[in-house]
Amino acid sequence: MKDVILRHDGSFDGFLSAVFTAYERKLIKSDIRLRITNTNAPADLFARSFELTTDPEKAQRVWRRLHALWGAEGVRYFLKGALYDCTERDTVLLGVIRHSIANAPRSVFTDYAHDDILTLSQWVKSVQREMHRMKAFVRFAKAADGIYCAPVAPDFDVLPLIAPFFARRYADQRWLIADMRRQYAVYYDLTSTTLLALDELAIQGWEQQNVDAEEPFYQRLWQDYFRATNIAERANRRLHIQHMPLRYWRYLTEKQHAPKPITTEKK
Amino acid sequence: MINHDRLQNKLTILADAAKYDVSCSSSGGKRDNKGGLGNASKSGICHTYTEDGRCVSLLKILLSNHCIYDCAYCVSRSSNDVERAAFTVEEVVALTINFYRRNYIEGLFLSSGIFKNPDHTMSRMILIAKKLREEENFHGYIHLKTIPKAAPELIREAGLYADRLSINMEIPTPSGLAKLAPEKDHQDMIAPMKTVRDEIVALKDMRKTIKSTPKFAPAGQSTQLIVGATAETDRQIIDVANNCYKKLQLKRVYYSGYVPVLEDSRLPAIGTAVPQVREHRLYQADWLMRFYGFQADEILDRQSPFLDLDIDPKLAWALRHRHQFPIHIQYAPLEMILRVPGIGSKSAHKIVAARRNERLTLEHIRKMGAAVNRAKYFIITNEHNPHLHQLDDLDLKQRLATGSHSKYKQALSGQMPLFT
Ligand code: SF4
Repeated sequence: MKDVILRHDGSFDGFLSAVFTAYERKLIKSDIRLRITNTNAPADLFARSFELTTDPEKAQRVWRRLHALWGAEGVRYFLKGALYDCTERDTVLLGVIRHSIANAPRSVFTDYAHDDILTLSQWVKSVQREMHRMKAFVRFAKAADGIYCAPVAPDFDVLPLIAPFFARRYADQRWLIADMRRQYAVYYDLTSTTLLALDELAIQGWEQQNVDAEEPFYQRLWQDYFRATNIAERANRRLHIQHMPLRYWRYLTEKQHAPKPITTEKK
Repeated sequence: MINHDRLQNKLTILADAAKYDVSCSSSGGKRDNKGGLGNASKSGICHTYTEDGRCVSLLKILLSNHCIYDCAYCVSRSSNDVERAAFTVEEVVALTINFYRRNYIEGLFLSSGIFKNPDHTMSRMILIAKKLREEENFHGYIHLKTIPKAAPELIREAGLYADRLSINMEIPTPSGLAKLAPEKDHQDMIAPMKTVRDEIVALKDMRKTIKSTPKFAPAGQSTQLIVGATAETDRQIIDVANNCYKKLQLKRVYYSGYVPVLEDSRLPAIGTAVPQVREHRLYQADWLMRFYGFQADEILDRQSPFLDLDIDPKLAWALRHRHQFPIHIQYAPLEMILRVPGIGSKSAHKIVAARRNERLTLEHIRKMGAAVNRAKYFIITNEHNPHLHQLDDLDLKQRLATGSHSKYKQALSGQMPLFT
């Protein structure tokens, strides 16, 4: 059994180029244990390892092939799983691609007895859960210029996936959701959404934005409401944290213990 | 202009008084937003969780806690000495819109004590819903609590603005209700439920021919049953729930373990533990009826009217029906796979999808999310399964009980003395 590792620059195109190379060099064989990973992953002394350069042309060809295999819905499913962040990610994704190509044209995403397919389904589930949580745990604060702003820090890069949801729900209000971990934001201006880098935002002075005069009042009301709905006789902190893990609290208005003072002065 | 301090005070009082209503779900609504504010997401979103672990998806408040009635189990009852408050229509609208715009909530759940008379109270609630829809262009979720004895016309009007209507039965038996809520009887609750049911059916039929027919309470209706305030059995509760689903076509029945907050000789004393495990078992039984194809009378035998607190009702059923097991995971119909202890509905569907291309082992189904430590006693797979012998063991329940309730151990340990 030979161990071969293909290393790429970490982009999705890099991964697809690596898949192309794997097939081109006939590395998909039962006597080869092939792994694809990005250049940051720890080295393995016992494996032969190749650094690949990303080739958009090759990436495109693989992507078209996958599209033909899975259709739009299957591709979306695969991409959700690909948002899962871990070192084995690319090897599992390769396993899914191999299994799909080997069984084409049969659809393989329900072959839960296959390890890589099952792993992918669990990743999709995690990513979807994070999407669901980010729909719930966004807390907008109204800025003086009327834009509703919210900082978040999701585990996976799900903001672009949930932006359409917020655009539909808040069709008549301008809003901005900032991913503090990945340093970018989605901004909706009543007609469309755009991605902005956070340093760009700093230049535009977002951080100095004053909050709307009524904002502290409604934050305070929400905190009061949160406290008033609790039933002390049924206290269950474990369950509470299970539903709302501590890592999200930082940006949840109801979990800020020192509410901002109510200012009534109008600007 | 809204007075901040007064509104803050009212919110504290009227949210506190509404918190015992457990129904909070915002699911089942499908409201499209055409350029206005909000939409109802089909699965509903829990925006936060209380420190007791319940989901908060709606702004749940009373319009007022003034009440002319005196139901023993209710903190707002007329004889209770509490601070009273009432929102104005504008205040409820402002709260809903401002909370919604900040993504705190999915919408409004409005209930009320009965002030002046049932019709007057109901009309005010309708006014709020109407204002939200027509003046604020609000498409988020609205759940209105129907006031017992309100006129059928008002209930019909409410259903045009609300996504869901509900009326809480509260006490599952007519005799229990007569004892605790002398001004009400079961018919006061059942009559409006029938009105709503008939209206939903009628408008649904009409929509088939006339597309512009308005939607009526598109998310259906629900009710709540208080558990443990009176002496009813689980069997009685499950029968009531079953009737609600079958005859009244309700979408959900909620169970609320009674929280003793009032001194009253007709009720459990203050300090009595909330029957949380019992409540949990009832929810599990309810799931079995709604999603697992169980009939009400399969869940409890005539001779044992209470759910087993040590093990979940599906496991209890399997242990009583061992002659129907083991089943073969490769060939058994979905309905039977759904009945295997330890296999939930998601893993059951995964199993049925996966077995088309693979001969499944215990390891496979473990990876698909089944609790194999329970399931292994009830199923045949394509490998030797040494646990099958124990299907006939009399102490199988004991073994499964110790392995399965770890999740509720904490809750159980606090309450065990009450139940043993
Ligand atoms: S009518 Fe409703 S609010 Fe009034 S006491 Fe009875 S349960 Fe409470």
